[in-house]
Amino acid sequence: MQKVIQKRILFMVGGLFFIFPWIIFRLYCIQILNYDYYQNKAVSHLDKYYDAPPIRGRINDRNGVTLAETKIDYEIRFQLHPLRKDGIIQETPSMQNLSKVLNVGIDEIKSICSKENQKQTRRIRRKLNRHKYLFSLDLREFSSFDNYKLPLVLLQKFKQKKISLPPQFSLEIVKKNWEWILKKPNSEKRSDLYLVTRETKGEKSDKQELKVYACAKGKEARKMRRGLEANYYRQLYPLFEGIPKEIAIVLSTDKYKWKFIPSQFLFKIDDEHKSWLNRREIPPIIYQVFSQENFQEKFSYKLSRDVLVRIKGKNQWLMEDRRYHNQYAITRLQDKLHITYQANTKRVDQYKGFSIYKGISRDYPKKTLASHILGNMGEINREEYIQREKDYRMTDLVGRSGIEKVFENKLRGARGSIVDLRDSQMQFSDPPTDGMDLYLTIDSELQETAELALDESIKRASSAVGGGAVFIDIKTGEILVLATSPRYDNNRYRADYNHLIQLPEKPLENRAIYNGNPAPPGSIFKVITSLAVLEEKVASPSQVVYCRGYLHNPRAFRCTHHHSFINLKDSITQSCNIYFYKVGEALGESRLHQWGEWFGFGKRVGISLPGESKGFLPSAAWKRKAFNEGWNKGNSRMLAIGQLLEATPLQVARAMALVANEGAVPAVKLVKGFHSPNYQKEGSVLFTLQELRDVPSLLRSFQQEHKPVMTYLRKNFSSGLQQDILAYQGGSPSLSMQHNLVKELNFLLQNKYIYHKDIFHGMVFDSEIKALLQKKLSWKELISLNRLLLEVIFPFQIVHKRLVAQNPTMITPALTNNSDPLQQIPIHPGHLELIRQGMIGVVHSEKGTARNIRKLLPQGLIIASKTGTSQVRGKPDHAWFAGFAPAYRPQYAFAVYVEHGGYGGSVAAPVAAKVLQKLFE
Amino acid sequence: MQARQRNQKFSARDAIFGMGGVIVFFIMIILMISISFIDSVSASYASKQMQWIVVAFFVSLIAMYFDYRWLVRNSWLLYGLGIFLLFATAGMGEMRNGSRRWIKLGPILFQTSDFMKIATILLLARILSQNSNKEKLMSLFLPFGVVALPCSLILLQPDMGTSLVFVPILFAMIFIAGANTKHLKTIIIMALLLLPIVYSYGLKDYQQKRVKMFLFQNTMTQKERQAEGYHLTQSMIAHGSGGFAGKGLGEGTQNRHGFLPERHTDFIFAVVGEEWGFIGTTVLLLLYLFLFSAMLMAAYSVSCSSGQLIIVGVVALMVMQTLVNTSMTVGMAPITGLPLPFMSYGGTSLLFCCCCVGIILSILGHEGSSYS
Repeated sequence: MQKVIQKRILFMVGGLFFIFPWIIFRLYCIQILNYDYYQNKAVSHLDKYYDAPPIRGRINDRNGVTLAETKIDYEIRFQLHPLRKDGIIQETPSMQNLSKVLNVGIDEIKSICSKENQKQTRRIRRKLNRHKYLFSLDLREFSSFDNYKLPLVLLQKFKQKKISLPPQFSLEIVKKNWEWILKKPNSEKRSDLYLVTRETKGEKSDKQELKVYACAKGKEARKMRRGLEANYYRQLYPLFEGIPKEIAIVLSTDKYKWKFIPSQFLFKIDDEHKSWLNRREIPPIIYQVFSQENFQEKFSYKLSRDVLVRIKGKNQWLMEDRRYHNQYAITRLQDKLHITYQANTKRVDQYKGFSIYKGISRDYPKKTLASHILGNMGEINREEYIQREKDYRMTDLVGRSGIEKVFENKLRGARGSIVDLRDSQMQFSDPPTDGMDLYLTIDSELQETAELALDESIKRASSAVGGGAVFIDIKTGEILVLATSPRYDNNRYRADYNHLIQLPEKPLENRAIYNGNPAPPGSIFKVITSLAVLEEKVASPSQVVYCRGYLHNPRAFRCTHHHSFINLKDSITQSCNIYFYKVGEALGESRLHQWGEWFGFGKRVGISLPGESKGFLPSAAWKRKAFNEGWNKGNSRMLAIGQLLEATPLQVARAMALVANEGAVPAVKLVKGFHSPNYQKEGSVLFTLQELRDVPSLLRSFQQEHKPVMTYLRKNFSSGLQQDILAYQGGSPSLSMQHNLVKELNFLLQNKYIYHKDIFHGMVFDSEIKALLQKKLSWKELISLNRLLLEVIFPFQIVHKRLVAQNPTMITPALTNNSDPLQQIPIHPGHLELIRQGMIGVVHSEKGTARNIRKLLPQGLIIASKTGTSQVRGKPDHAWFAGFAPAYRPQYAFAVYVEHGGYGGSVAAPVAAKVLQKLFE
Repeated sequence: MQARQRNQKFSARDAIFGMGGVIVFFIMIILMISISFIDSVSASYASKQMQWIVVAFFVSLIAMYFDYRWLVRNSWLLYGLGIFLLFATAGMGEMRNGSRRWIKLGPILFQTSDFMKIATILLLARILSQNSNKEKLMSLFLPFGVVALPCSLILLQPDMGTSLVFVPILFAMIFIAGANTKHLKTIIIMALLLLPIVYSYGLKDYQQKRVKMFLFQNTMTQKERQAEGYHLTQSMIAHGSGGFAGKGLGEGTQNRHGFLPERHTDFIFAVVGEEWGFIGTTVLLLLYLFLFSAMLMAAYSVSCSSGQLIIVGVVALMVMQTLVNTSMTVGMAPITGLPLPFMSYGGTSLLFCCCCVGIILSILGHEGSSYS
């Protein structure tokens, strides 16, 4: 017996020796044969990538006053279900933590939460009142091959809850229809499947019908959708008919897959529940359904967005400097809250129910100032997204109008990323390249003056609708003022949009560059006509015309006054129509058209704003084409007094600049230049590859200049330079720190994380270099790159920063589309002088049409100008005033236009006078 | 016989030298490895485990000098106590991770099923050694009943792994007791046939899922695997990324960054795999193999049948735990909460393992003596 047992024991030993090698073999397979695969996996989940959006550049005026900037908001969102118990918001530890960190009273947080809770309660109650039953199933129980089980289980559930089923709720119908759903191609059973009842109001209440809806897309769905009236079920269409109406079932599926979300509740809303609801509370069982995360997924469109509420304005302490570097702000936040950036990915128990979101919004601090120029932002649409997918996310904002739209690429910058390394609890980042700051040529003070003056004029002239004013620096072509009235507030653009588009005065139109209504420049065009007269030698300056108040017939071709005998100069001053009728007749269509064209009428000026009008300059060819009629004398007469054509204030101002500058001006522009965003704060520079190549020579010259410094640096290279760098970065250097720096750098280079927020803080790299640095490098290259960084780039950065600080220069862009460079208009200086005299008289002579503004102008300033009062059929006249100042050696050209303002001298001229007063103060 | 009667005392020489020494030697090496890896996971656990090792050392000393035959004689009592404790656990046990397995005794958590294992082994040894006609099938009913009661109680906790451990103990001890191999074969075949029934009615949802996951690993989608097989995935990554020589003690990323769940208890073998690589795992497994072989060889040398049975029971228990634990970390077994003997962190587990070793030494030491 003992021998048998011993044999058996030996057998067991043998068994052991048989079994253990199997595990060792398995380990061999995993650890040796598949080592690479698992090694990759182990490394790959050590880091986590986050998105780091760039900060959009500012838009400044010429003096650096900020007109548009980016604001970073941090918002704390909360979810209600972790915070409440029995339907009431309770004070939780997470609330206490939050209140400590944010320095906000716990009561305040609680009250915000409970307010939202009440709202949600109300919402749920409304929902419950609509449905008599709510019920959902765990459809994961049903795999694809046992679909038939579903109707059975459905019926079982009803029975369990003792819900009586009307006869039409037959198994066959449900089964049939269910199979029908499953047969649908996957694309059509895209989303949720709802089985919902609605009580039809009033009549036939006992014959209620239950409909089952499923979300679907495609033609069929659209067809079905049309038939449904209720908003909530607009995306749904009936699948089942003839199921009792009292039952509402919510079956839910995953969004794209035909998978179901579990939840197993069925209840009947009875009187007890109703009494809960009357007490403005939600019965606990309903909470179980509604507060499940799954449920929120189901109603992700409806509920969760409402559940997440913002606490706003409570994080001001984070916002000491709005433009502070992205990452830095985030890290500070993290330090405080221990919640990772984009905390929705990681929920920490300490702050259960709360999470932090970073949002970037655009702020226009001057509100309505230059609103049309700046433009506004809107969410990216499909086409734009497809076009520039690389750098945009679906929720990003893009410029929709104005400067924001035109310079989208420069203002925006480039997206970066943050790498959260779990390995060393460090963060590495490829920092986003923030957008460039843009400098407009606009002077915000003048702009404001012009805008206010326009507003005032428009208010005073009862018939006036809107207007525009443009001031151009003649020597540089820079637009100082591009004012429009009425304006809107870009901060409230989206909220007000529906209201704005309905207003009769059309505040969205930029009247300085666009004419929605026909806007003939009127008498202002007489300046161009008279130049043409002199140049074409149609009449001599001293030649006089007799004005009796009308040409031939008192009812047509009239003049404002009875001017008697009048010469060219006086007819400009007094704006005599008769004189210009006569010379216009003599000039004829072709010459008038030619001169109009030379002065820029009928074509775009070409500033960097979208939506600029061409204006309109009529010609004989046009008239034949449009009306099939020949050009007649009357047309020439009307064109000569500026009546048939249309122009924008910008065109008129430019024409005036041409007159003032003897027939040639530089290209008109609205944008002065760009700066790298951190220029003012840190003076950091944009490295280009070329610059890096030039580094050695730059360094050499720098070394020669600062020999003692450099010898010191070289002597103490291992510590000194780094110390310098660290001191420069604002850290306090210690030996271990230096050691770590080198170690870290090597690590970074090894792992392709070139950018370390501390080392590279504030440095902006060219994309070419970025690509170069992100390549996988050999050890040799690493070392040389390390040396390059330590020996070249950092000193270079220091050098460059100093240089920049001494001599700030801006990068000026080539912006204006000089598609057809303007030729010199042939103007004889003597002729110009005559015109100038006439234009001076407009303000400075006793008979001038704008003599009333003389007292508004600063003392000693003589301006050359011309009023215009253009007639519009059936509506009040447009008021115009344009010219240049000072009259001799002119600096600025201007044009003011008040739509339906009336008389130019009294409505438009004061606006210009006020701005000139400011300008020449 | 007279010589034996004279020599009634315990002989430390018999216990410590010979096979006993080999056993103790292997255990000490394993314990040293254990402490270094627990330290690699968390230093605070390591110091606690050190305290437990000291306690366990004295407990095993006591067990060694204590005559095991007293335990065998009073095994019904111990068994009754164990059953009582299991009931007490079900009534007033600590709830952890959805199961009631522990009783709180002051500061320590006491896993009652650990005690039950030893009690059952002792009782089985008593029954089987007294049983005269082992060839008969009927004689196997009592041992089966003795095992079935604690097994089902533990299954209800629920603790599938521990209750399954009883099965190999029973079979190994019946086998060694000299049961007819034909009977054993039929029983095994019947048990295999019963498995699906146990699976669908005896197991809870999550247990079923684990088994399913184990069986259909290759047919699962990525998402499902992520959701269900997190433990397994992470432990496989830990093993695989260890490679041949490992990442070095305390350098494992899976370990240090907490990707590996339960890494100081159930998944400590994956930590070994990660930090010492293939060499470490192989050496550790060989150590276990030699340890168990040495224990079986000790049983081989023992003449007392009850002592033999106890040793074989203990070996079956430990082998089962070792095999299930190690193979679960490499995806060869479904994931259960069975600790690796001597390696995993955990006071009571270590205590009872050492207690078992003490009993084995006691068997070896009392070999020459007789019990009155």
